Amino acid sequence: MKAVRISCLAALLGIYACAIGAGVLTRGGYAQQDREHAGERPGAVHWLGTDDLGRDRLVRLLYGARTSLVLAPAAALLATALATAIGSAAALMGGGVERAALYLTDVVSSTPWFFALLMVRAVLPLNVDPALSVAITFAILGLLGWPQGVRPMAARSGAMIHSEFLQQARAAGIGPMRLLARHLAPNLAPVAAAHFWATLPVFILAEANLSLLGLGVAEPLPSLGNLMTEIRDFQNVAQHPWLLAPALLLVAVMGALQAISQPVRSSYDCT
Amino acid sequence: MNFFVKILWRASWRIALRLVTRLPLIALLACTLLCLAPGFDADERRLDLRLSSQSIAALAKAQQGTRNPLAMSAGYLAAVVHGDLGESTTFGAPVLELVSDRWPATLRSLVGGLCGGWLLAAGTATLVALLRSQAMSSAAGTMATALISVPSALLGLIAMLLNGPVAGAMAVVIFARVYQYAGRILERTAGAPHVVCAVGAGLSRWRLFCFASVAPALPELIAVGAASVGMALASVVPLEVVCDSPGLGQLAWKAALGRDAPLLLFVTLAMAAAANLSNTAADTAIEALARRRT
Repeated sequence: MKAVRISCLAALLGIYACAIGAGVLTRGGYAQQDREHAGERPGAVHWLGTDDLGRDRLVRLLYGARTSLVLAPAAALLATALATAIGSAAALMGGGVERAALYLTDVVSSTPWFFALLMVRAVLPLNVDPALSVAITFAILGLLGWPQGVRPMAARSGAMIHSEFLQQARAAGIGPMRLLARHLAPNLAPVAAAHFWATLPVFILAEANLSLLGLGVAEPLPSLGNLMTEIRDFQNVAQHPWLLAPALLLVAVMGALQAISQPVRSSYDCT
Repeated sequence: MNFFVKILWRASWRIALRLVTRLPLIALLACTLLCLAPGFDADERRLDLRLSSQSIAALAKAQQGTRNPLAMSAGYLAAVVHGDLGESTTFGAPVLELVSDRWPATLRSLVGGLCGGWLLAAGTATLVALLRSQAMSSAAGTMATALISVPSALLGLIAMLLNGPVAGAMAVVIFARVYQYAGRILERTAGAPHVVCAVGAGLSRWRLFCFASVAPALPELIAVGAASVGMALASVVPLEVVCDSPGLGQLAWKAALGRDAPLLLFVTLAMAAAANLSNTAADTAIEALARRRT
Protein backbone atom coordinates (compact mmCIF):
# COMPACT_ATOMS: atom_id res chain seq x y z
CA MET A 1 0.00 0.00 0.00
CA LYS A 2 2.91 2.28 0.83
CA ALA A 3 4.39 1.67 -2.63
CA VAL A 4 1.07 2.63 -4.25
CA ARG A 5 0.96 5.85 -2.23
CA ILE A 6 4.56 6.71 -3.14
CA SER A 7 3.93 6.14 -6.85
CA CYS A 8 0.72 8.20 -6.63
CA LEU A 9 2.66 11.00 -4.93
CA ALA A 10 5.35 10.87 -7.63
CA ALA A 11 2.71 10.98 -10.39
CA LEU A 12 0.90 13.87 -8.70
CA LEU A 13 4.14 15.82 -8.28
CA GLY A 14 4.90 15.22 -11.97
CA ILE A 15 1.48 16.53 -12.98
CA TYR A 16 1.89 19.55 -10.70
CA ALA A 17 5.34 20.28 -12.12
CA CYS A 18 4.01 20.15 -15.70
CA ALA A 19 0.97 22.29 -14.78
CA ILE A 20 2.95 24.94 -12.92
CA GLY A 21 5.66 24.98 -15.58
CA ALA A 22 3.12 25.18 -18.43
CA GLY A 23 4.48 28.57 -19.47
CA VAL A 24 8.01 27.17 -19.81
CA LEU A 25 7.08 23.81 -21.34
CA THR A 26 4.84 25.18 -24.07
CA ARG A 27 5.15 27.74 -26.81
CA GLY A 28 2.44 30.40 -26.82
CA GLY A 29 -0.35 30.85 -24.30
CA TYR A 30 -3.59 28.96 -23.81
CA ALA A 31 -5.47 31.44 -26.01
CA GLN A 32 -3.02 31.43 -28.93
CA GLN A 33 -4.72 30.39 -32.14
CA ASP A 34 -3.29 28.53 -35.10
CA ARG A 35 -6.14 29.26 -37.52
CA GLU A 36 -4.63 27.28 -40.37
CA HIS A 37 -4.77 24.12 -38.27
CA ALA A 38 -8.14 24.49 -36.53
CA GLY A 39 -9.88 21.25 -35.50
CA GLU A 40 -6.78 19.19 -36.32
CA ARG A 41 -6.17 15.61 -35.15
CA PRO A 42 -3.19 14.81 -32.87
CA GLY A 43 0.11 15.05 -34.70
CA ALA A 44 3.78 15.86 -34.35
CA VAL A 45 3.18 19.59 -33.82
CA HIS A 46 -0.01 19.46 -31.78
CA TRP A 47 0.21 16.28 -29.68
CA LEU A 48 -3.44 16.37 -28.65
CA GLY A 49 -4.69 18.18 -31.74
CA THR A 50 -6.35 21.60 -31.83
CA ASP A 51 -9.85 22.79 -31.00
CA ASP A 52 -12.27 24.51 -33.39
CA LEU A 53 -10.56 27.85 -32.75
CA GLY A 54 -7.13 26.41 -33.54
CA ARG A 55 -5.91 26.40 -29.94
CA ASP A 56 -3.52 23.60 -28.95
CA ARG A 57 -5.37 21.12 -26.71
CA LEU A 58 -2.25 20.00 -24.83
CA VAL A 59 -1.30 23.58 -23.98
CA ARG A 60 -4.84 24.25 -22.78
CA LEU A 61 -4.82 21.02 -20.78
CA LEU A 62 -1.62 22.04 -18.97
CA TYR A 63 -2.90 25.54 -18.25
CA GLY A 64 -6.29 24.08 -17.24
CA ALA A 65 -4.60 21.70 -14.83
CA ARG A 66 -2.71 24.66 -13.40
CA THR A 67 -5.96 26.57 -12.81
CA SER A 68 -7.67 23.65 -11.06
CA LEU A 69 -4.71 22.20 -9.19
CA VAL A 70 -3.35 25.46 -7.83
CA LEU A 71 -6.57 27.22 -6.94
CA ALA A 72 -8.37 24.22 -5.39
CA PRO A 73 -5.66 23.84 -2.68
CA ALA A 74 -5.89 27.59 -2.08
CA ALA A 75 -9.66 27.26 -1.56
CA ALA A 76 -9.13 24.22 0.69
CA LEU A 77 -6.60 26.25 2.72
CA LEU A 78 -9.13 29.06 3.10
CA ALA A 79 -11.84 26.60 4.25
CA THR A 80 -9.40 24.97 6.69
CA ALA A 81 -8.28 28.33 8.08
CA LEU A 82 -11.91 29.35 8.63
CA ALA A 83 -12.78 26.02 10.27
CA THR A 84 -9.72 26.28 12.54
CA ALA A 85 -10.44 29.88 13.51
CA ILE A 86 -14.15 29.30 14.20
CA GLY A 87 -13.69 25.92 15.92
CA SER A 88 -10.83 26.98 18.18
CA ALA A 89 -12.38 30.37 18.99
CA ALA A 90 -15.66 28.65 19.93
CA ALA A 91 -13.84 26.18 22.19
CA LEU A 92 -11.69 28.91 23.78
CA MET A 93 -14.69 31.12 24.57
CA GLY A 94 -16.94 28.21 25.59
CA GLY A 95 -20.47 28.57 27.02
CA GLY A 96 -23.07 30.41 24.96
CA VAL A 97 -20.60 31.50 22.27
CA GLU A 98 -19.56 27.90 21.65
CA ARG A 99 -23.18 26.72 21.51
CA ALA A 100 -24.12 29.57 19.15
CA ALA A 101 -21.13 28.91 16.88
CA LEU A 102 -21.85 25.19 16.71
CA TYR A 103 -25.55 25.82 16.05
CA LEU A 104 -24.67 28.19 13.21
CA THR A 105 -22.26 25.58 11.88
CA ASP A 106 -25.02 22.97 11.89
CA VAL A 107 -27.36 25.34 10.06
CA VAL A 108 -24.78 26.15 7.39
CA SER A 109 -23.74 22.52 6.95
CA SER A 110 -27.38 21.45 6.53
CA THR A 111 -27.69 23.75 3.50
CA PRO A 112 -26.91 21.91 0.27
CA TRP A 113 -23.80 23.83 -0.66
CA PHE A 114 -24.02 23.11 -4.40
CA PHE A 115 -27.26 25.11 -4.52
CA ALA A 116 -25.68 27.91 -2.48
CA LEU A 117 -22.80 27.85 -4.96
CA LEU A 118 -25.21 28.05 -7.90
CA MET A 119 -26.97 30.96 -6.26
CA VAL A 120 -23.81 33.02 -5.83
CA ARG A 121 -22.52 32.11 -9.29
CA ALA A 122 -25.85 33.23 -10.74
CA VAL A 123 -25.47 36.77 -9.47
CA LEU A 124 -21.92 37.48 -10.58
CA PRO A 125 -21.44 40.62 -12.69
CA LEU A 126 -22.39 40.19 -16.36
CA ASN A 127 -19.09 41.42 -17.77
CA VAL A 128 -16.82 39.69 -15.26
CA ASP A 129 -13.21 39.12 -16.27
CA PRO A 130 -12.34 35.36 -16.70
CA ALA A 131 -9.47 35.64 -14.18
CA LEU A 132 -11.80 37.28 -11.67
CA SER A 133 -14.49 34.67 -12.34
CA VAL A 134 -12.08 31.84 -11.54
CA ALA A 135 -10.92 33.62 -8.38
CA ILE A 136 -14.53 34.17 -7.28
CA THR A 137 -15.48 30.54 -8.02
CA PHE A 138 -12.71 29.15 -5.83
CA ALA A 139 -13.19 31.83 -3.16
CA ILE A 140 -16.86 30.82 -2.87
CA LEU A 141 -15.81 27.18 -2.57
CA GLY A 142 -13.44 28.13 0.25
CA LEU A 143 -16.03 30.28 1.99
CA LEU A 144 -18.67 27.52 1.87
CA GLY A 145 -16.42 24.58 2.75
CA TRP A 146 -15.63 25.35 6.40
CA PRO A 147 -18.59 23.88 8.39
CA GLN A 148 -17.54 20.22 8.22
CA GLY A 149 -14.27 20.99 9.99
CA VAL A 150 -15.60 23.11 12.85
CA ARG A 151 -16.89 20.37 15.18
CA PRO A 152 -13.70 18.22 15.12
CA MET A 153 -11.65 21.38 15.54
CA ALA A 154 -13.75 22.58 18.49
CA ALA A 155 -13.60 19.13 20.10
CA ARG A 156 -9.81 18.96 19.73
CA SER A 157 -9.36 22.54 20.98
CA GLY A 158 -11.68 21.83 23.94
CA ALA A 159 -9.61 18.78 24.89
CA MET A 160 -6.39 20.79 24.52
CA ILE A 161 -7.56 23.68 26.69
CA HIS A 162 -8.14 21.37 29.64
CA SER A 163 -4.91 19.43 29.10
CA GLU A 164 -2.25 19.50 31.79
CA PHE A 165 0.56 20.87 29.62
CA LEU A 166 -1.54 23.87 28.56
CA GLN A 167 -2.61 24.59 32.13
CA GLN A 168 1.01 24.40 33.18
CA ALA A 169 2.00 26.80 30.41
CA ARG A 170 -0.74 29.18 31.50
CA ALA A 171 0.39 28.96 35.12
CA ALA A 172 3.94 29.75 33.98
CA GLY A 173 2.63 33.08 32.70
CA ILE A 174 2.65 32.49 28.95
CA GLY A 175 0.39 35.02 27.19
CA PRO A 176 -2.72 33.94 25.21
CA MET A 177 -1.24 34.73 21.78
CA ARG A 178 1.94 32.78 22.45
CA LEU A 179 -0.15 29.98 23.95
CA LEU A 180 -2.23 29.87 20.79
CA ALA A 181 0.71 30.05 18.40
CA ARG A 182 3.25 27.81 20.16
CA HIS A 183 1.10 25.27 21.99
CA LEU A 184 -2.45 25.08 20.62
CA ALA A 185 -1.83 25.52 16.88
CA PRO A 186 0.75 22.71 16.49
CA ASN A 187 -1.63 20.30 18.23
CA LEU A 188 -4.47 21.32 15.94
CA ALA A 189 -2.35 20.81 12.83
CA PRO A 190 -3.24 17.10 12.31
CA VAL A 191 -6.99 17.85 12.37
CA ALA A 192 -6.47 20.85 10.08
CA ALA A 193 -4.41 18.71 7.70
CA ALA A 194 -7.13 16.07 7.62
CA HIS A 195 -9.79 18.70 6.84
CA PHE A 196 -7.59 20.11 4.08
CA TRP A 197 -7.10 16.70 2.47
CA ALA A 198 -10.80 15.89 2.79
CA THR A 199 -11.94 19.13 1.13
CA LEU A 200 -9.32 19.34 -1.63
CA PRO A 201 -10.77 16.56 -3.88
CA VAL A 202 -14.29 17.85 -3.19
CA PHE A 203 -13.34 21.31 -4.47
CA ILE A 204 -11.64 19.96 -7.60
CA LEU A 205 -14.77 17.94 -8.40
CA ALA A 206 -17.07 20.87 -7.59
CA GLU A 207 -15.20 23.10 -10.01
CA ALA A 208 -15.35 20.39 -12.67
CA ASN A 209 -19.10 19.93 -12.17
CA LEU A 210 -19.76 23.69 -12.20
CA SER A 211 -17.65 24.25 -15.31
CA LEU A 212 -19.29 21.30 -17.09
CA LEU A 213 -22.61 23.06 -16.46
CA GLY A 214 -21.25 26.35 -17.84
CA LEU A 215 -21.20 28.07 -14.43
CA GLY A 216 -17.55 27.68 -13.48
CA VAL A 217 -14.41 29.07 -14.99
CA ALA A 218 -15.22 31.28 -18.00
CA GLU A 219 -13.62 31.00 -21.44
CA PRO A 220 -10.97 31.61 -22.71
CA LEU A 221 -9.33 30.64 -19.39
CA PRO A 222 -9.07 26.83 -19.33
CA SER A 223 -9.75 24.57 -16.34
CA LEU A 224 -10.10 20.79 -16.10
CA GLY A 225 -13.87 21.31 -15.80
CA ASN A 226 -14.50 23.58 -18.78
CA LEU A 227 -12.15 21.55 -21.01
CA MET A 228 -14.51 18.59 -20.47
CA THR A 229 -17.51 20.40 -21.95
CA GLU A 230 -16.56 18.99 -25.38
CA ILE A 231 -17.30 15.49 -24.04
CA ARG A 232 -21.00 16.35 -23.86
CA ASP A 233 -21.19 15.62 -27.57
CA PHE A 234 -20.93 11.79 -27.55
CA GLN A 235 -20.61 11.27 -31.29
CA ASN A 236 -17.72 13.68 -31.32
CA VAL A 237 -16.00 11.67 -28.56
CA ALA A 238 -16.37 8.39 -30.47
CA GLN A 239 -14.59 9.94 -33.46
CA HIS A 240 -12.11 11.98 -31.42
CA PRO A 241 -11.20 9.91 -28.33
CA TRP A 242 -8.40 12.33 -27.39
CA LEU A 243 -11.15 14.68 -26.16
CA LEU A 244 -11.23 12.42 -23.09
CA ALA A 245 -7.74 13.60 -22.04
CA PRO A 246 -8.99 16.23 -19.51
CA ALA A 247 -11.39 13.68 -17.95
CA LEU A 248 -8.64 11.07 -17.69
CA LEU A 249 -6.23 13.58 -16.16
CA LEU A 250 -8.89 14.63 -13.63
CA VAL A 251 -9.63 11.02 -12.67
CA ALA A 252 -5.88 10.31 -12.34
CA VAL A 253 -5.35 13.36 -10.14
CA MET A 254 -8.37 12.53 -8.00
CA GLY A 255 -7.34 8.89 -7.63
CA ALA A 256 -3.82 9.91 -6.62
CA LEU A 257 -5.17 12.44 -4.12
CA GLN A 258 -7.52 9.84 -2.61
CA ALA A 259 -4.70 7.33 -2.24
CA ILE A 260 -2.26 9.83 -0.72
CA SER A 261 -4.74 11.34 1.71
CA GLN A 262 -6.24 8.03 2.90
CA PRO A 263 -4.13 7.69 6.10
CA VAL A 264 -4.67 11.35 7.05
CA ARG A 265 -8.43 11.13 6.45
CA SER A 266 -8.65 7.90 8.45
CA SER A 267 -7.13 9.65 11.46
CA TYR A 268 -9.74 12.40 10.98
CA ASP A 269 -12.57 9.84 11.23
CA CYS A 270 -11.27 8.76 14.63
CA THR A 271 -11.13 12.28 16.10
CA MET B 1 -46.11 -0.49 19.35
CA ASN B 2 -46.38 2.28 21.93
CA PHE B 3 -42.60 2.76 21.66
CA PHE B 4 -42.75 3.34 17.88
CA VAL B 5 -45.72 5.72 18.15
CA LYS B 6 -43.73 7.72 20.72
CA ILE B 7 -40.72 7.83 18.40
CA LEU B 8 -42.85 8.96 15.48
CA TRP B 9 -44.39 11.74 17.57
CA ARG B 10 -41.00 12.83 18.81
CA ALA B 11 -39.54 12.79 15.28
CA SER B 12 -42.47 14.80 13.89
CA TRP B 13 -42.13 17.43 16.61
CA ARG B 14 -38.39 17.67 16.20
CA ILE B 15 -38.63 17.96 12.43
CA ALA B 16 -41.30 20.68 12.68
CA LEU B 17 -39.31 22.57 15.33
CA ARG B 18 -36.05 22.28 13.42
CA LEU B 19 -37.62 23.46 10.16
CA VAL B 20 -39.30 26.41 11.87
CA THR B 21 -36.07 27.49 13.59
CA ARG B 22 -33.58 26.72 10.84
CA LEU B 23 -35.30 27.66 7.60
CA PRO B 24 -35.50 31.39 8.44
CA LEU B 25 -31.77 31.30 9.26
CA ILE B 26 -31.00 29.48 6.02
CA ALA B 27 -33.12 32.02 4.13
CA LEU B 28 -31.18 34.83 5.82
CA LEU B 29 -27.86 33.17 4.89
CA ALA B 30 -28.99 32.68 1.30
CA CYS B 31 -30.16 36.30 1.05
CA THR B 32 -26.85 37.47 2.56
CA LEU B 33 -24.94 35.48 -0.07
CA LEU B 34 -27.11 37.00 -2.81
CA CYS B 35 -26.78 40.54 -1.48
CA LEU B 36 -23.01 40.29 -0.95
CA ALA B 37 -22.38 38.88 -4.44
CA PRO B 38 -20.61 41.49 -6.57
CA GLY B 39 -23.17 41.28 -9.38
CA PHE B 40 -26.29 41.40 -7.23
CA ASP B 41 -27.58 44.61 -8.80
CA ALA B 42 -26.60 43.59 -12.33
CA ASP B 43 -29.48 43.24 -14.72
CA GLU B 44 -29.19 41.93 -18.26
CA ARG B 45 -31.57 44.63 -19.40
CA ARG B 46 -28.89 47.19 -18.53
CA LEU B 47 -26.79 45.88 -21.44
CA ASP B 48 -29.63 46.65 -23.86
CA LEU B 49 -28.28 49.35 -26.18
CA ARG B 50 -31.81 50.50 -26.99
CA LEU B 51 -32.36 51.75 -23.42
CA SER B 52 -31.57 55.35 -22.57
CA SER B 53 -29.17 56.29 -19.76
CA GLN B 54 -32.16 57.40 -17.63
CA SER B 55 -33.82 53.98 -18.03
CA ILE B 56 -30.57 52.19 -17.11
CA ALA B 57 -30.15 54.45 -14.06
CA ALA B 58 -33.75 53.71 -13.03
CA LEU B 59 -33.11 49.94 -13.32
CA ALA B 60 -29.96 50.24 -11.21
CA LYS B 61 -31.83 52.26 -8.57
CA ALA B 62 -34.66 49.72 -8.43
CA GLN B 63 -32.16 46.91 -7.79
CA GLN B 64 -30.22 48.80 -5.10
CA GLY B 65 -33.31 49.27 -2.92
CA THR B 66 -33.45 45.57 -2.04
CA ARG B 67 -29.76 45.08 -1.03
CA ASN B 68 -30.56 44.39 2.62
CA PRO B 69 -30.38 40.68 3.57
CA LEU B 70 -32.58 41.05 6.66
CA ALA B 71 -35.33 42.94 4.84
CA MET B 72 -35.03 40.66 1.82
CA SER B 73 -35.29 37.41 3.81
CA ALA B 74 -38.07 38.74 6.06
CA GLY B 75 -40.06 39.91 3.06
CA TYR B 76 -39.49 36.63 1.26
CA LEU B 77 -40.51 34.48 4.24
CA ALA B 78 -43.60 36.61 4.90
CA ALA B 79 -44.64 36.11 1.28
CA VAL B 80 -43.96 32.34 1.52
CA VAL B 81 -46.12 32.09 4.65
CA HIS B 82 -48.94 33.68 2.66
CA GLY B 83 -48.45 31.13 -0.12
CA ASP B 84 -46.71 33.52 -2.51
CA LEU B 85 -43.39 32.00 -3.61
CA GLY B 86 -42.80 34.76 -6.13
CA GLU B 87 -42.61 34.71 -9.89
CA SER B 88 -39.76 33.30 -11.94
CA THR B 89 -38.10 35.95 -14.08
CA THR B 90 -36.69 33.29 -16.44
CA PHE B 91 -39.91 31.39 -17.11
CA GLY B 92 -42.39 34.19 -16.43
CA ALA B 93 -44.48 31.78 -14.35
CA PRO B 94 -45.27 31.42 -10.62
CA VAL B 95 -42.49 29.54 -8.78
CA LEU B 96 -45.04 27.25 -7.10
CA GLU B 97 -46.36 26.12 -10.48
CA LEU B 98 -42.87 25.40 -11.83
CA VAL B 99 -41.83 23.49 -8.71
CA SER B 100 -45.00 21.41 -8.50
CA ASP B 101 -44.51 20.30 -12.11
CA ARG B 102 -40.95 19.18 -11.53
CA TRP B 103 -40.58 17.79 -8.01
CA PRO B 104 -41.90 14.27 -8.86
CA ALA B 105 -39.02 13.69 -11.32
CA THR B 106 -36.44 14.72 -8.70
CA LEU B 107 -38.11 12.62 -6.00
CA ARG B 108 -38.05 9.57 -8.30
CA SER B 109 -34.35 10.07 -9.02
CA LEU B 110 -33.54 10.61 -5.35
CA VAL B 111 -35.47 7.57 -4.10
CA GLY B 112 -34.17 5.33 -6.89
CA GLY B 113 -30.60 6.61 -6.53
CA LEU B 114 -30.52 6.31 -2.75
CA CYS B 115 -32.11 2.84 -2.71
CA GLY B 116 -29.89 1.58 -5.55
CA GLY B 117 -26.73 3.10 -4.09
CA TRP B 118 -27.39 1.74 -0.61
CA LEU B 119 -28.27 -1.72 -1.95
CA LEU B 120 -25.01 -1.83 -3.90
CA ALA B 121 -22.92 -0.48 -1.02
CA ALA B 122 -24.57 -2.63 1.65
CA GLY B 123 -24.34 -5.74 -0.55
CA THR B 124 -20.65 -5.18 -1.28
CA ALA B 125 -19.83 -4.30 2.34
CA THR B 126 -21.69 -7.41 3.56
CA LEU B 127 -19.81 -9.66 1.16
CA VAL B 128 -16.47 -8.13 2.13
CA ALA B 129 -17.23 -8.42 5.86
CA LEU B 130 -18.55 -11.99 5.62
CA LEU B 131 -15.84 -13.39 3.37
CA ARG B 132 -13.06 -11.39 5.04
CA SER B 133 -11.05 -11.58 1.85
CA GLN B 134 -8.27 -9.01 1.54
CA ALA B 135 -8.39 -9.18 -2.27
CA MET B 136 -12.12 -8.51 -2.36
CA SER B 137 -11.81 -5.67 0.15
CA SER B 138 -9.04 -4.05 -1.94
CA ALA B 139 -11.00 -4.51 -5.18
CA ALA B 140 -14.17 -2.97 -3.71
CA GLY B 141 -12.19 -0.12 -2.14
CA THR B 142 -10.37 0.60 -5.40
CA MET B 143 -13.64 0.59 -7.34
CA ALA B 144 -15.25 3.01 -4.86
CA THR B 145 -12.18 5.28 -4.98
CA ALA B 146 -12.18 5.23 -8.79
CA LEU B 147 -15.88 6.11 -8.91
CA ILE B 148 -15.45 8.90 -6.34
CA SER B 149 -12.78 10.39 -8.59
CA VAL B 150 -15.24 10.92 -11.44
CA PRO B 151 -17.39 14.09 -11.39
CA SER B 152 -21.13 13.39 -11.05
CA ALA B 153 -21.78 15.17 -14.36
CA LEU B 154 -19.44 12.76 -16.13
CA LEU B 155 -21.17 9.76 -14.54
CA GLY B 156 -24.45 11.25 -15.77
CA LEU B 157 -23.02 11.45 -19.31
CA ILE B 158 -21.96 7.80 -19.13
CA ALA B 159 -25.45 6.84 -17.89
CA MET B 160 -26.97 8.77 -20.79
CA LEU B 161 -24.63 7.06 -23.25
CA LEU B 162 -25.81 3.68 -21.92
CA ASN B 163 -29.46 4.83 -22.01
CA GLY B 164 -29.59 4.50 -18.21
CA PRO B 165 -31.86 6.53 -15.94
CA VAL B 166 -30.73 9.46 -13.75
CA ALA B 167 -31.41 7.23 -10.72
CA GLY B 168 -28.84 4.73 -12.04
CA ALA B 169 -26.12 7.38 -12.23
CA MET B 170 -27.11 8.66 -8.80
CA ALA B 171 -26.93 5.12 -7.41
CA VAL B 172 -23.32 4.90 -8.60
CA VAL B 173 -22.53 8.29 -7.00
CA ILE B 174 -24.11 7.16 -3.71
CA PHE B 175 -22.52 3.69 -3.81
CA ALA B 176 -19.01 5.09 -4.08
CA ARG B 177 -19.44 7.51 -1.19
CA VAL B 178 -21.50 5.27 1.11
CA TYR B 179 -19.20 2.27 0.62
CA GLN B 180 -16.20 4.28 1.75
CA TYR B 181 -17.85 4.90 5.13
CA ALA B 182 -20.22 1.95 5.63
CA GLY B 183 -17.66 -0.57 4.35
CA ARG B 184 -15.02 0.68 6.78
CA ILE B 185 -17.49 0.63 9.70
CA LEU B 186 -18.66 -2.93 8.96
CA GLU B 187 -15.13 -4.17 8.36
CA ARG B 188 -14.13 -2.75 11.75
CA THR B 189 -17.04 -4.30 13.67
CA ALA B 190 -16.71 -7.64 11.85
CA GLY B 191 -13.00 -7.73 12.70
CA ALA B 192 -13.49 -6.97 16.42
CA PRO B 193 -11.67 -9.52 18.66
CA HIS B 194 -14.86 -10.90 20.24
CA VAL B 195 -16.43 -11.48 16.79
CA VAL B 196 -13.31 -13.23 15.49
CA CYS B 197 -13.29 -15.41 18.65
CA ALA B 198 -16.95 -16.29 18.13
CA VAL B 199 -16.28 -17.22 14.48
CA GLY B 200 -13.43 -19.43 15.68
CA ALA B 201 -15.77 -21.06 18.17
CA GLY B 202 -17.96 -22.10 15.26
CA LEU B 203 -20.92 -19.70 15.55
CA SER B 204 -22.82 -18.93 12.35
CA ARG B 205 -21.06 -16.16 10.41
CA TRP B 206 -24.32 -14.75 9.12
CA ARG B 207 -25.87 -14.63 12.59
CA LEU B 208 -22.73 -13.01 13.99
CA PHE B 209 -22.71 -10.48 11.18
CA CYS B 210 -26.31 -9.46 11.91
CA PHE B 211 -26.10 -9.31 15.70
CA ALA B 212 -22.44 -8.57 16.44
CA SER B 213 -21.42 -6.47 13.44
CA VAL B 214 -24.45 -4.63 12.04
CA ALA B 215 -26.37 -4.08 15.28
CA PRO B 216 -23.57 -2.22 17.15
CA ALA B 217 -22.82 -0.19 14.01
CA LEU B 218 -26.45 0.87 13.45
CA PRO B 219 -26.10 4.41 14.87
CA GLU B 220 -23.12 5.10 12.62
CA LEU B 221 -24.87 3.56 9.61
CA ILE B 222 -27.95 5.71 10.25
CA ALA B 223 -25.69 8.79 10.37
CA VAL B 224 -24.14 7.75 7.04
CA GLY B 225 -27.69 7.32 5.72
CA ALA B 226 -28.55 10.92 6.62
CA ALA B 227 -25.29 12.14 5.08
CA SER B 228 -26.04 10.20 1.89
CA VAL B 229 -29.24 12.24 1.41
CA GLY B 230 -27.08 15.38 1.35
CA MET B 231 -24.75 13.71 -1.17
CA ALA B 232 -27.70 12.78 -3.37
CA LEU B 233 -29.08 16.33 -3.22
CA ALA B 234 -25.68 17.72 -4.24
CA SER B 235 -25.56 15.45 -7.29
CA VAL B 236 -29.11 16.27 -8.42
CA VAL B 237 -28.10 19.38 -10.40
CA PRO B 238 -25.27 17.97 -12.55
CA LEU B 239 -27.07 14.67 -13.18
CA GLU B 240 -30.39 16.20 -14.18
CA VAL B 241 -28.70 18.77 -16.40
CA VAL B 242 -26.54 16.34 -18.38
CA CYS B 243 -29.29 13.68 -18.55
CA ASP B 244 -31.88 16.32 -19.54
CA SER B 245 -34.25 15.21 -16.78
CA PRO B 246 -36.95 17.82 -16.04
CA GLY B 247 -36.50 17.99 -12.26
CA LEU B 248 -35.69 20.60 -9.63
CA GLY B 249 -31.94 20.33 -10.28
CA GLN B 250 -32.37 21.26 -13.93
CA LEU B 251 -34.75 24.04 -12.88
CA ALA B 252 -32.13 25.41 -10.45
CA TRP B 253 -29.50 25.33 -13.22
CA LYS B 254 -31.75 27.19 -15.66
CA ALA B 255 -32.55 29.68 -12.90
CA ALA B 256 -28.81 30.16 -12.26
CA LEU B 257 -28.15 30.78 -15.95
CA GLY B 258 -31.07 33.22 -16.08
CA ARG B 259 -30.09 35.00 -12.81
CA ASP B 260 -33.50 34.09 -11.43
CA ALA B 261 -33.11 34.79 -7.68
CA PRO B 262 -36.70 33.98 -6.49
CA LEU B 263 -36.66 30.56 -8.13
CA LEU B 264 -33.12 29.73 -6.93
CA LEU B 265 -33.95 30.87 -3.41
CA PHE B 266 -36.98 28.62 -3.21
CA VAL B 267 -35.24 25.55 -4.66
CA THR B 268 -32.32 26.07 -2.22
CA LEU B 269 -34.75 26.33 0.71
CA ALA B 270 -36.64 23.22 -0.44
CA MET B 271 -33.39 21.24 -0.68
CA ALA B 272 -32.25 22.54 2.73
CA ALA B 273 -35.61 21.45 4.19
CA ALA B 274 -35.12 17.96 2.72
CA ALA B 275 -31.59 17.73 4.16
CA ASN B 276 -32.77 18.93 7.58
CA LEU B 277 -35.65 16.47 7.51
CA SER B 278 -33.34 13.52 6.92
CA ASN B 279 -30.82 14.74 9.53
CA THR B 280 -33.50 15.15 12.20
CA ALA B 281 -35.05 11.77 11.43
CA ALA B 282 -31.59 10.18 11.76
CA ASP B 283 -30.89 11.99 15.05
CA THR B 284 -34.22 10.78 16.48
CA ALA B 285 -33.59 7.20 15.33
CA ILE B 286 -30.09 7.20 16.88
CA GLU B 287 -31.46 8.55 20.17
CA ALA B 288 -34.27 5.97 20.18
CA LEU B 289 -31.74 3.19 19.60
CA ALA B 290 -29.56 4.42 22.46
CA ARG B 291 -32.59 4.64 24.76
CA ARG B 292 -33.76 1.14 23.83
CA ARG B 293 -30.30 -0.28 24.57
CA THR B 294 -30.11 1.33 27.99
